[in-house]
Amino acid sequence: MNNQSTRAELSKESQAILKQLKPLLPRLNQLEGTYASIYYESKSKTTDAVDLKKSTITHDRVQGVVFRIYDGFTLFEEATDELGRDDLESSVDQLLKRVRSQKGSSQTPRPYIAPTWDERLKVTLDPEIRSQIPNNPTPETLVHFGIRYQKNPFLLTDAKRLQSLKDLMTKLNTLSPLAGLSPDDLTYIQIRQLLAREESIFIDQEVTLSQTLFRLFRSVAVMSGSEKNQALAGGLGGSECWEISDEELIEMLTDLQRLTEHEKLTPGHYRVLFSPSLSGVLAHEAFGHSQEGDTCARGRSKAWDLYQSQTTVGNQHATILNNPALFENGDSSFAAWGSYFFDEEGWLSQEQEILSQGKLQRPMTHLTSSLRLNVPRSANGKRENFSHGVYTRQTNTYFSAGKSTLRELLDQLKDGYLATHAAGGMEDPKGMGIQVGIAYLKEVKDGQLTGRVFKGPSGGDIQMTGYTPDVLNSIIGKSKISPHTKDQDRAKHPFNEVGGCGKYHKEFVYAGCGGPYLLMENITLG
Amino acid sequence: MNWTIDDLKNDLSAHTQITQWRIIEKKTNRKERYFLNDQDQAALDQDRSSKSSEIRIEVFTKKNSDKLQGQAKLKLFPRQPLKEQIDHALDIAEQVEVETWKYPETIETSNRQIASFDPLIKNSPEQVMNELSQNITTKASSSKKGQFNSSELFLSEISQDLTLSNGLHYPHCQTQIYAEAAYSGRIKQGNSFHSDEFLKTVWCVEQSQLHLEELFNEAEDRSQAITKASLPESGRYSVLLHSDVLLGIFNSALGQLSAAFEYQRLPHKNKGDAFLTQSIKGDPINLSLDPYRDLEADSVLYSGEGVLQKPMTLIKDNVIENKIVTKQYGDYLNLAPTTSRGTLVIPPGKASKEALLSSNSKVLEVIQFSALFYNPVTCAFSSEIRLAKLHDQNSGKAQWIKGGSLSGSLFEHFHTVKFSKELGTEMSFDYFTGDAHSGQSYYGPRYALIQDVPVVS
Repeated sequence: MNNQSTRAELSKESQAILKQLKPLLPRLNQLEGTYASIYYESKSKTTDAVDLKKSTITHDRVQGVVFRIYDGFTLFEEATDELGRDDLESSVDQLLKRVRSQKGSSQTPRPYIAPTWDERLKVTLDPEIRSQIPNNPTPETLVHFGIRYQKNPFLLTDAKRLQSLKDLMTKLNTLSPLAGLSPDDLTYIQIRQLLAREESIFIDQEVTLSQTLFRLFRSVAVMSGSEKNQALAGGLGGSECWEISDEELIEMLTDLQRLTEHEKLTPGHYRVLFSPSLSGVLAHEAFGHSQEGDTCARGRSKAWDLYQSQTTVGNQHATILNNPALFENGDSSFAAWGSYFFDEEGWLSQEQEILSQGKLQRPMTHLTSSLRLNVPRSANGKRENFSHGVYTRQTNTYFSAGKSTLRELLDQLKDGYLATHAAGGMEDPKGMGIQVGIAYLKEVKDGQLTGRVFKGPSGGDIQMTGYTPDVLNSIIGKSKISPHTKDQDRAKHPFNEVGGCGKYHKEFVYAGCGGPYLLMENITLG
Repeated sequence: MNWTIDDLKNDLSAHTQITQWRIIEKKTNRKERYFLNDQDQAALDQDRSSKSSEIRIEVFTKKNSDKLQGQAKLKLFPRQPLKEQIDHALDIAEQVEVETWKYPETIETSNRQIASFDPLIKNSPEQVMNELSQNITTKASSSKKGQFNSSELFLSEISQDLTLSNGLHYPHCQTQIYAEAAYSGRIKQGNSFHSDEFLKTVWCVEQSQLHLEELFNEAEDRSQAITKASLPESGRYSVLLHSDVLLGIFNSALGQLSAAFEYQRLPHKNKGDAFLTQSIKGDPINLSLDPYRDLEADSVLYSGEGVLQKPMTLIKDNVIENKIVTKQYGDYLNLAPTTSRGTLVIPPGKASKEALLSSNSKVLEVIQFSALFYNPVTCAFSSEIRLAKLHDQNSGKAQWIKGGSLSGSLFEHFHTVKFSKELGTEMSFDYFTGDAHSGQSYYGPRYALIQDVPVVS
């Protein structure tokens, strides 16, 4: 860890709101046999953008409180962005009234007792989390977690941030001849960056938690006619998260030039090498979604049956992890996109293996899914924002690393395709189907890239489909975390890229996905 | 609140640096319930109520050149001093540059009344929620063929006031209903059981459009069908698409008809161009926008730029008759602004669904795609097939299909399209943004048959 890094502090505004919220917990806790908690979030973000015609800066902020009561059967929530004292008290009254008016249930109650700090600290926590918890914390101790950063992005003025994007635009024009493109060939360029400060507070009768995250994202999108390519960078930390190297820009431009001469893929079965961004989407859609505890509790996932029967669903390469505690991302010193210190229900982050060499492990959970399934809680309770419901959601999902270099995997691939740019995906937890979208494929012959690129049979994205266990049994190789060198990996976890995730077709949340390069055979592409 | 909307209007109007401004006040009330199967009954897993309100402004400022202006968009907080927030907007506007454009100088008026919300949901959401919840629990506990897994029911009321510096004040209210039902089916295969599920979702605006019984019945029936499904053979198929897919395909193509694409040098069509360049061998393409259709996802009188919306033909007999020109891009390209919002309308075809299915020896009817991705620039689309039915005219039998992927393109596959005479409506809301004006609506043929579409498994 870099010694020059600093941790983000809780803002004065959030500290003041904590003082308002804390006295409301005893009122929420007055109903016998219930469990009450309070969640507050403030997400301020600035989006800068430049294209060939204009520059813009947009500020936005989401701020709100969720009052929660779980009565052993149902989780009741009252969410509001009215933060005045009277408004907050009124929301508490409305929630209490709603819970009291609930008719009795014939179902079996599943009561919940909040764990104490002693109980919470019995598990292994990442040093980044453990080191921020003071000795002997009590329910009244405010335990704050701040993200580490090296270069404070909030010291940059609007003008400086915008200028950095304009400089990048100029650089693209300078680099384009190296990719066989003239500046005129770049018919559309858009460079965007996001800078967000995200704060949250969680209170129940045993803990008072807060966290401050700095979230940064940059995308460079280029078009030539109807062809498009893009490069992305992002993570949690300082301005260091924004860096996109010249090599990445040249590769993006070179692929764009080749896309202007793309060929259409003949649908069929191929050997394909997935880059980390694609292997992450595969992990996320394969046994990521199906290992979400609420999906299991709803009877909507085959994974729950297969976990209980310990049926094998993949080969020895098929190990998938979900980890919100990725505070170093591959070889980068900043945290991965889907990381946090605790989830939106106050559960501390831990690494979790959800598939181990083809065997399913216990699912990820949030509060109610953990109780319904009677499995331990994990830190996967997330929501789009305070006004949306909480679900079990993924954080950073990735395959474990292998031992091969990229060169060795290309030699092993021999003839096939390299897929580097993801284009969405879709889960099918009960039916065990899978869809992974690929923006384009690069042809590989005799282990070498030929320069030919392919798009879908009708000129759109290519879809990888199949039966998930078949796909996971078709993995024949995985790369190291640092795939370009034979040296032993120094990083602990594979790199996770920026991404987003919907649950079926709604409820958008941030999610990281990545991992090693993944070599597969007999994959259906069309 | 430390200041009022009138204070805000006065302050924005008084600033000599500000050339024009927009204020959007939005209030959202939402009720949500999540049900799941617990001991063969629909148990209430979550019960939520959410209220939020926001004030957003967009200001435009003078620059040294008349051709350029500053612009800032931000959310204001009533508990923070107004002057500080407006100064912040001016600081941002100082840094950025956009080509100058203006809101309409005169406000075109209309007496047209457009229904856009359900009064009962607006006034008594708790009552509606309780009644619909009762229907869900009753229906879920009466499953006969499949197993009820889960259901979600969301009711929202979104009130939005648009105020522009040119004097326009346009209040708009919309209600939104989201409902879903998921059922599992199970059949014995050898010594084990094969199970699968079907999830059916629906968006609508008014209770009369929500047919819970149908929603649950369809999810339950399809959950049986999907367990019997097998992979399609790879090849090229005649494909029957449903209206939910037509909503997505045609809405994603609207960019091609927009002045925005023209201005941004993206691929686009111009007035008088043929929409499809291949010779038409099927039904001609006719497309229009109708913002006046009641209780649709985009039933509106004014655009966000203050342009009065009216029904407008976009494509007539495959020829572009009008482009979508917002005020901003119209000013840039010296074009008059047109309708940019509303329901996408396609007239009915002549053939019934039955006739379409019997027009080829084999037709693949896609009931549901897993996730159909559309590219608005190339108008290509592709997805895994979640559930389809392969109709074989020769044998008179139909086979359930699941898996494999289909890829198509509006420009490559729709010159042979045959639309059904049965009509249907579809709507969806961009739930990710929660924007009251992010809805898409379609009113047109319930089915469309296209040819020679590649499928691989």
